[in-house]
Amino acid sequence: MKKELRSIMLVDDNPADNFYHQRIIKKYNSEIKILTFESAKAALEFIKTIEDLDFLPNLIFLDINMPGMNGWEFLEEYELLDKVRQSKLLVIMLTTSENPSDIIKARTWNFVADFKSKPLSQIMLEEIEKNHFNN
Amino acid sequence: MSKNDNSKISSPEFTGTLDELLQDYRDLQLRVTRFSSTEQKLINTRNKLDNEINRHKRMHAFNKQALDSMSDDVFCKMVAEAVVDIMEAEVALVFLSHLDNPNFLCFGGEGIVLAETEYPKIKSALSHLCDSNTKSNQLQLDSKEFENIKTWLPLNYAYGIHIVDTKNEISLLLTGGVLEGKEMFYEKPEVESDMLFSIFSQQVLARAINRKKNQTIHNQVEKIETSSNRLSKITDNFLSFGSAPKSNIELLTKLSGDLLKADIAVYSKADECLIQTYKNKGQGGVSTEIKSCHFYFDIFSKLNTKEIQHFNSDEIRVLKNKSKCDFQGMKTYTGCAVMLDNQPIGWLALVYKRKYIPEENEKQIIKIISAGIAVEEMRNISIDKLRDNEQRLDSVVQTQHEMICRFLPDTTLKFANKPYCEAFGLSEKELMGKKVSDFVSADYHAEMKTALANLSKKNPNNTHIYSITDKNGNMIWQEWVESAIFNNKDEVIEIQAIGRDITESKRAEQDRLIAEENIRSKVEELTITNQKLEKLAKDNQELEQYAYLASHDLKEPLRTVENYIYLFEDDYAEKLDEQAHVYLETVKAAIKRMNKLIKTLLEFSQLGANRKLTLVNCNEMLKEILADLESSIKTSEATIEIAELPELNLYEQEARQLFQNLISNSIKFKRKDEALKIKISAEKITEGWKFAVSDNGIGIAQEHFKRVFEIFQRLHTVQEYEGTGIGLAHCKKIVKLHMGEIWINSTLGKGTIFNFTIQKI
Repeated sequence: MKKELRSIMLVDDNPADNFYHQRIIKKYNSEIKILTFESAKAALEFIKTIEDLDFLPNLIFLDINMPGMNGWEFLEEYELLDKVRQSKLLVIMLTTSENPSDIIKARTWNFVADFKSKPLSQIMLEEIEKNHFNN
Repeated sequence: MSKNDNSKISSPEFTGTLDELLQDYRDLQLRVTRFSSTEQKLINTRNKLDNEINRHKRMHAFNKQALDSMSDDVFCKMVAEAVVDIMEAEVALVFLSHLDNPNFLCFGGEGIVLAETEYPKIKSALSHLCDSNTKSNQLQLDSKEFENIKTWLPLNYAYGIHIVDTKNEISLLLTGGVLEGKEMFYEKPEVESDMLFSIFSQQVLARAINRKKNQTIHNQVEKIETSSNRLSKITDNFLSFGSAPKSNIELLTKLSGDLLKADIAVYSKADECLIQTYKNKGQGGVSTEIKSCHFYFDIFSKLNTKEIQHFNSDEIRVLKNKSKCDFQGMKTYTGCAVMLDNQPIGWLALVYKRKYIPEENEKQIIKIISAGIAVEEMRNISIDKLRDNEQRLDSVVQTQHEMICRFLPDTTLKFANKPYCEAFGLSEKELMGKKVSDFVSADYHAEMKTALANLSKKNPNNTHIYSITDKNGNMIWQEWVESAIFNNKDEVIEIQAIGRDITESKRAEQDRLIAEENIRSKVEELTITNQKLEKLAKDNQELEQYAYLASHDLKEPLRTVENYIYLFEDDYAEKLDEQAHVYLETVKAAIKRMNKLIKTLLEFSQLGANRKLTLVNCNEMLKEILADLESSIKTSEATIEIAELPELNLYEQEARQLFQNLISNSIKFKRKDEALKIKISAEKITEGWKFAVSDNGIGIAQEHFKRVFEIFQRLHTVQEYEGTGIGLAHCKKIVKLHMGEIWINSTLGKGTIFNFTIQKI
């Protein structure tokens, strides 16, 4: 059951990238709500603890190389969350890495929907919405 | 006259009267008479004495004669004649009886004729005349019983003695007497004569006893002589034994027949149905025949101990009826089993035509000979075994590939097998007597001497390697295992040695040592090189990693710059003047170039990281590359000529990059005044393939042939020719990956040939 793309969570330690990606998303669809986390741990805590599941984002753009909890560690923890919460979310890797081994590694989590290279662009968003969401 | 002479002598003067004279005369006469009678007595006594002496002389003569060996009848005859002579009888009877001859009678003198049948009666009658009441053995020949004897003996008067020696079982009856009508010299023997007769008879008895003893001794001496003869025969036979047990057994069997005077001597083995018989032909020796005869076996089967057993003709006769063999009327059969380890292995038997019972010492002889046969049989078995063993050993020794020899402690050769002979190129005969040390190199003499001297019961083996001069005078190496053979004093009497040629292995060993040394030094070199390489590879890897991380990290800020230039343009484009736009465009171009640089650098560092060899058809690959480059080829109006290319194992992705880079390079550096022509060809070389990509472009100066392959090295400005300075470095790295070389042939202004090799991998 495809959902409508209403909110996006950006998990990236680089604020410049987050700012740029916010601009791109706003330009693509100004109605999409954007949650930005510079710490993977904080983002995970948010997902874990939020009571009203309607406030969960529809899509998470997850970076890999981050200080503290990195993208992989985030995925390991995320996997342990209850399935209801998981079902509300779509995880897409968004990273500078083009290393094939990283792409293969990301695929081992079946809830990771895609692997994209920075920077995010209008075209990428179009594709993602087309493939994974009901617009 | 003599009387007068006497009176004259005794009375020279007369005195007195006639009466007185006459009286004197009568006295004288009486005296003379008395004297005469005394004289007569004296004469008689003298005569008697003479007679006695005479008799003693004759007895002595008899004794002397009787001491000589003679037969009993001759002896008795002599005794009888002695009685007639000494006792001055007319006739004499002598009965000398002992076990051998109970009634032996002899007469002395003449006139008595008696039938031999009457002897026992006479002897009995005479012996009865002996007075059993008195101790005397004197015969009472004046008794009434004597009258009865006169029936056979016409004796007028007789005397005699009967002596019995129970201890020696001998009796003597001695009688002397006169025939009827004749007178004896003595009416009755006087005391002296009695004594003499008694002494004489005692002497005769003693003589008889002596004779009997002598006879026994003689018989025993004869027996001893026979035994000693047999013994010496046995000894002679034993001494003449040869080394072959079979002929010795034959000899022993013959000997048993010979010694025990058997008609046939038989020896047979228990497990063979063959019999060797030796027929005694008296003085002429023996004849030998061997036949198969079951008959003997029926008898032999009764023999199962070493004790002598005896069979008579009856038992043999019973068997004879069952047998096909002719037994030639043999009567007795004696023999025993030949025992070895308490088991009968055969039989020795003696067969007689006459009745024969072996004496104890003869049984001993049979036993001795059968024991002798047993010893020979054992020896035979041992010899067979020994021969068997020797043959086996010999065949083993001769068929060995190893050299085998035996030599004395001074190294004089006593035996050598074929391989030994062949090794030294001499026959066994030629080798015998030569010294082992003659073959061994002088350098080893001392060592060999010490090694041999050190052989002892405690240390009986030695292993040595000697260098030896062979038949062709070549120096060869032999390894010898020496084993000492000892006598019963534990002294080394011989040395047996087994050797093999180890020249090849020795040479191989030396070669190996040299090779090992070479290898070791090479390995050392290699190890050093490897270490260097490893370090280099590690450094390289680190460098690549570094390059990757650096370029990766460079990307991030550059992207941010790019992103924000885009945002800047987006947000402020309207507020900027013309000049600001030119600046922005320059920044954007620089960013683009920087991106390209980073991307290439990333590719370069990642090159071969996931490489995989695949069989690639280069013709196909080139077609695809040309299709990819279609637009730039069209733009530059290049003609590309591709010769027949091989199919080979390549890191496909990298190889594709290589060709693409080289072609792009040619297109990029084309001459503006001439149409571009690119030729791609390949030729087979020993290690793989050599490729050439040639063009008629601007060419490269010789001094730059090496430099162009170094990373970030550029020959031209960016304004002249666009580029990163990585492309050819990339090519070089790819060629290296294929263990090949890349080099340039070029003339400035005329064209360039890029040559590279790819090894067969």
